[in-house]
Amino acid sequence: MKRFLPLLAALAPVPAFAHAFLKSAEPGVGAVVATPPAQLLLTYTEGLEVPFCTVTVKGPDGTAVQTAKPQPVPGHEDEMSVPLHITAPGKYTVTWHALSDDGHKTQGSFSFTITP
Amino acid sequence: MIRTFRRALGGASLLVLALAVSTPAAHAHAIAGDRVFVNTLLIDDPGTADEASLPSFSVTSPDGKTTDFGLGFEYDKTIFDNLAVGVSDGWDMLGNDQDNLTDLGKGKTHGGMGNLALDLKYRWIVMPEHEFMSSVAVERDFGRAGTSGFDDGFNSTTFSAYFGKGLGDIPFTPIRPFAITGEFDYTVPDAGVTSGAGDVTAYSGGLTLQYSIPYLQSQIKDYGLPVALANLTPLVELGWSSAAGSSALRPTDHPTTFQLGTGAVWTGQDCAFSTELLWPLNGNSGHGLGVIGEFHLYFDDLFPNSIGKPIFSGTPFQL
Repeated sequence: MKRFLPLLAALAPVPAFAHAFLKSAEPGVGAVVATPPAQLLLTYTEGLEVPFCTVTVKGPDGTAVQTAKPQPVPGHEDEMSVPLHITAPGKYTVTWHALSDDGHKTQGSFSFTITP
Repeated sequence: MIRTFRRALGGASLLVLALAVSTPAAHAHAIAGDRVFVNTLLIDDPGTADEASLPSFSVTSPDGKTTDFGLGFEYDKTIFDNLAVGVSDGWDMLGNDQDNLTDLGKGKTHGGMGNLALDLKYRWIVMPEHEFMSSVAVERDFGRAGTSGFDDGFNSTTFSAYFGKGLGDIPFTPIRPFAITGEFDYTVPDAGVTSGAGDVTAYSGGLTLQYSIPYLQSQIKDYGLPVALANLTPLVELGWSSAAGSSALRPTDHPTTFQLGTGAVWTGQDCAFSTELLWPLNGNSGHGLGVIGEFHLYFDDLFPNSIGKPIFSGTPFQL
């Protein structure tokens, strides 16, 4: 039996390892908000390897408004934040690429709107 | 993979027809860009992955009197990320069997194993920006590996092509959560094989139309739906099969079948559950409503560091 233990360990389910799909966002997917947010917060269904994730946020004129790379959120391995500098109302498009804990890649895009 | 429709082409009996509407195929999930193509029941999805269906199930009636219970399984293993092998089989039980064309006995209950099938599937193109992917496959059915009367009784080879297209790149928001997938098969029996009166070469396939609520929630508008709804993909499937050989034999020995599946797939992180109502669209496809479904395990998520990952890295010869 002992010799099978490594095999069993290898086959054991690994909790919280899976594709990371977007669970929620702040500002929300398709949201209309009055106040320009200082950051974008993305929450996923699984933990992230944030250094290998990318997020771009483009404004109505196509200019990128994120001011830094995605940052991990302490205590929340399934989240990342992106600082924003938004000065004008309009529709903003978020495009993200995520790498989950176990190396699975996912991507997506959505928009939110800042009202005048 | 257990081809539900192809089985109808193996003979004239209601028994075979019963098997035709039972034991839905097990299918993989697939991702192209922002799109996840869910595992469907009447046809396979266009992807390759490490996963298993344990089990797929069905309750149907081929003639309105006989009840067919089916259980099936499938396991798929990636060699490369875009090349996978699969093994599948199924078990059927016919209750109150009215098939008097077999020697099993009318009105009795019988059970048996179907074909053992091995397949090799190759995903040759993925276009993430257009949410498109396509694969081709070859499957070998061992039609004498099961129970006499429940398997085909002959070996065959099936060549298949698959596609999946998400509509997320179409600039009309209401239809962006939709996706279409399709499959086309051509089955060739071993040389010299006939069933009853003739050739059993066959075409089969189908189309699905899916509405992804996860796509709606994460790409278009987050309505704050509860998990039970947010992970749901309602879908409609149309499956079809017909003879490809002697057309004169079709009405009796190779009935053309059309079936409609309506239901939904609930997709979790490591598993998915599908269930559909099965509507026979002609007399050759069964009688009355059936129910099909499956419990699907994503091994790539459950066992990402062992049996859930490809044996070799890379995606050779993929466009």
